[in-house]
Amino acid sequence: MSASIVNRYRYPFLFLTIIVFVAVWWVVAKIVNDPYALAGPVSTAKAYYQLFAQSSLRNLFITSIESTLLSIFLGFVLAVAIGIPVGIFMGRYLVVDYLVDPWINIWYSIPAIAFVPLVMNWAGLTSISALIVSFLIAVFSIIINVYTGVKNVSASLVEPAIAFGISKRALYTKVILPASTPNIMVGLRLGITRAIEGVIVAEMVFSVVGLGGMIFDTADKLEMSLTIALVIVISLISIALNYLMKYLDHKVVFWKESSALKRG
Amino acid sequence: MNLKSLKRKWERTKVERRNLVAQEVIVEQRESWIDLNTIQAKVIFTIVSILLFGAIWELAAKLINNHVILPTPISSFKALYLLIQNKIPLGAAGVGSFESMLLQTLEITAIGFLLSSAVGIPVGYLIGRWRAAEAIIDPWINALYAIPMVALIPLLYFGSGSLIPVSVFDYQGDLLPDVLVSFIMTVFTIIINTYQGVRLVSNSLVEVGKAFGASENQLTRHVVIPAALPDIVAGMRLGLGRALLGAIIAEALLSTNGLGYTMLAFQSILNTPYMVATIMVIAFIGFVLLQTPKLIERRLFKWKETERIKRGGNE
Amino acid sequence: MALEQKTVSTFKQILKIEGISKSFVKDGKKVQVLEDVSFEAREGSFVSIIGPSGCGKTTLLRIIDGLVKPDSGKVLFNGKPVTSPPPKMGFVFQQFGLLPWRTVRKNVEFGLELRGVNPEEKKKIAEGYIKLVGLEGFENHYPHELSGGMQQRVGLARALAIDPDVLLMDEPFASLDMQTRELFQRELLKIVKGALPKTTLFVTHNIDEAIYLSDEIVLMTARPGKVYEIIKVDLPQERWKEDIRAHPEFIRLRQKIWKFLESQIIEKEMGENESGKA
Ligand SMILES: Nc1ncnc2c1ncn2[C@@H]1O[C@H](COP(=O)(O)OP(=O)(O)OP(=O)(O)O)[C@@H](O)[C@H]1O
Ligand SMILES: [Mg+2]
Repeated sequence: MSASIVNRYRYPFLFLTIIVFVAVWWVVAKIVNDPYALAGPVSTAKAYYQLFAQSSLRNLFITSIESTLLSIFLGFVLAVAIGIPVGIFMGRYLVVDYLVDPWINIWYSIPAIAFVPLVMNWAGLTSISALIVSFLIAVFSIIINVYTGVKNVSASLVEPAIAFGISKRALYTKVILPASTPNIMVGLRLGITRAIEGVIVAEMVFSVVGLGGMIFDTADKLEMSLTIALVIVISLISIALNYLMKYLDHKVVFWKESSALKRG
Repeated sequence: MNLKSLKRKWERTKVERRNLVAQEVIVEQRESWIDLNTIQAKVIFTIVSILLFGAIWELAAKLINNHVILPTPISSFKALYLLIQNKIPLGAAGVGSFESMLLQTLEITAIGFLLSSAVGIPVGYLIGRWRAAEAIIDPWINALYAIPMVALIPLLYFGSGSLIPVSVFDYQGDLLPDVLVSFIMTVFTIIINTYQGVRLVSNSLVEVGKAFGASENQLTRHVVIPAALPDIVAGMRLGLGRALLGAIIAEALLSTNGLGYTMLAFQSILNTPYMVATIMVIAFIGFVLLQTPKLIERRLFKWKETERIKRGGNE
Repeated sequence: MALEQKTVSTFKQILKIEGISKSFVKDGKKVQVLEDVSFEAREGSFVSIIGPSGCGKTTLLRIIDGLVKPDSGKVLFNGKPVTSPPPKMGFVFQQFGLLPWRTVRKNVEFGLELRGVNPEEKKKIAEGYIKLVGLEGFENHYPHELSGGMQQRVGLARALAIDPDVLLMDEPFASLDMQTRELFQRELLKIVKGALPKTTLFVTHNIDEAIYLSDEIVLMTARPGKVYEIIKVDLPQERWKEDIRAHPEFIRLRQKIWKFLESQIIEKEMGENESGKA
């Protein structure tokens, strides 16, 4: 019975939990009473004011966000442009499948950060490096999901199409590709989440570019309220991007109830 | 039964197996100049694939002709051999012995993972069973999934000195921050997967349990947990990868030992072969940690696997 | 002979359904599913419930088993009101409801295990019922390795294994082909009217199936589901021994029920069209 009350007034209740969260944060910060360990909500709010009022800080903040978003997006777009064709290619040609398959699982299980030093040698401590990291991470999520999607299209979809005398090309564009869109979308959603994380890690290691760099730098200077403010910013960006991908997923794959994501 | 009929039977079951998915049809559609559907073909192709990869790498390295940007595979493997032999090049500040770095990374990973499982599974289970609050837990879970936990590391590290009395954990010495990082990176993955597993236990199975008179305890033991177990274990497998990632990140950012630190230390002296060698060790650990559980899972949860194939899903 | 005497001589009402009403809230709107449903079942009788799709048959069975609480009305089992699943009721589910991680034997043992029956006895009982439903040799198979018909046999064996007095069956044969279906019907009658006498409530869409199996048929109207009529089937007992499908009474009943269902479906469609226009 309580279920229906909470579920019916979900937004007020959700809002309430956010307020509770902030209140707990405030109380804990009061108890800890050490601005270097944990800045409270009030000083974090002040940090936001600082971020916008102080022109040098504001400029740094804006260029950081630009650089981070650019790295994420360009790397991701590149990953989509390359990952989807490669995935389809692997699903289509057994030879390609056999040649690439042993590597996919290996690359996919490499912890993202292992790419960082390699990329540092290629492009230095720049947003280009972060972009490459974003690409390398996203592309494997995409390839692996597209490929399994294409390979596992149900026979009950393919056989009728063949019975109707479909051409090889049309079989791919009209049956196999549409049928594997759920998997492709899963790949994209996983890809962007992992790409965001990869970019932040890279930037923190570089500690001079992007939001990641700024987060690391402010924490290093023990300006904890600024750090928290920035962490909240990047979190909100990630959440927004995630909801965007979820929305796209529902739009593209409207014919299937939402695919349960494995989340890693 | 003679050999021929056995073989025919094998062929038949092969077809039946493949009928589950469209592979049969697609495979026929694919060009085949040799019979690719044999184990031998798979083995041969794996070997060819490895050699091909090596050749491309070698060629690229020769073309670029710059040891810093891309060392040749041979020099990288040589560095790997030397690294394992503890022959560390001069100038790599503070890099310890191979065993010590390996052990440290594995230790952080193991503790981070165990801690995360101990916390994450019960928490995920409880909120998954708490159906009344579903509508407000879901957005929080989505948010937790989206937030890059790495962003929390500086907060944790630079603040942790005063937040947690390190002396309490003295036996861990300076590994505590690393373990915390690994834990933070892992615990939400485990919570989320457990939560989803429990949430997706179909109501109809729970009802079956109730119809046969199961008590609340028996429902948990005989229906909910077995049904959610494949997802929980899959979450733990992903958690292993996350714990390793957390350990490496922590070492890279905070520590002065371990594979994560070593890899960056070699980078800073521009000794790329050693750096690549370290990355290969990390990749190998990652591969083993993520792939071995898969084999076990496949044996353990055959019923789930078939359900997944039938649904045309993937993992 | 003795069995037949038993079913004829007992007139005890083992199950009484009294004034059951139930509504659900769907998309913020209240939907009345069942309205004042009442009927009774004699011990050892076979009662079918037939009605258009969505009229609340499954919901009614769930209420009778105590899985769902009715808004009003009550279910009496041996004179006692049902509030939670009684140990002496067995349920055969529409979608089989087998636990996919358990083998056939483990699935059949499920109810016994919950009741704390000791392992040896459990195994012995399970083997007996597996044999009864003709699944010998498949004890160690998993549900996903079985065909739909075999899975349904497991569901039946599982329900029988707890030795219920009342068997609730929700469209158990819906997914079977015609021949298998008729075979199953005969096998079921042999069990519940012969070897192991049970009181059976059987939900179905299939008119022939209902007449062939039942002593009584409860006809339900389209949503909200009400009892329209309770039809007594006056056909010989032990029907597995002769084919009664050509019996004049059988044909008369079939026509009668078909007319009723047709009227219900037409009414429903017209109602939906009207509300669509409004
Ligand atoms: N838990 C529930 N919440 C909301 N609505 C429900 C619920 N259970 C059933 N209903 C609704 O009640 C109505 C009757 O459902 P029920 O499954 O009992 O019908 P049925 O007669 O068994 O149909 P069918 O012949 O298709 O199996 C349907 O409209 C269904 O959507
Ligand atoms: Mg039903």
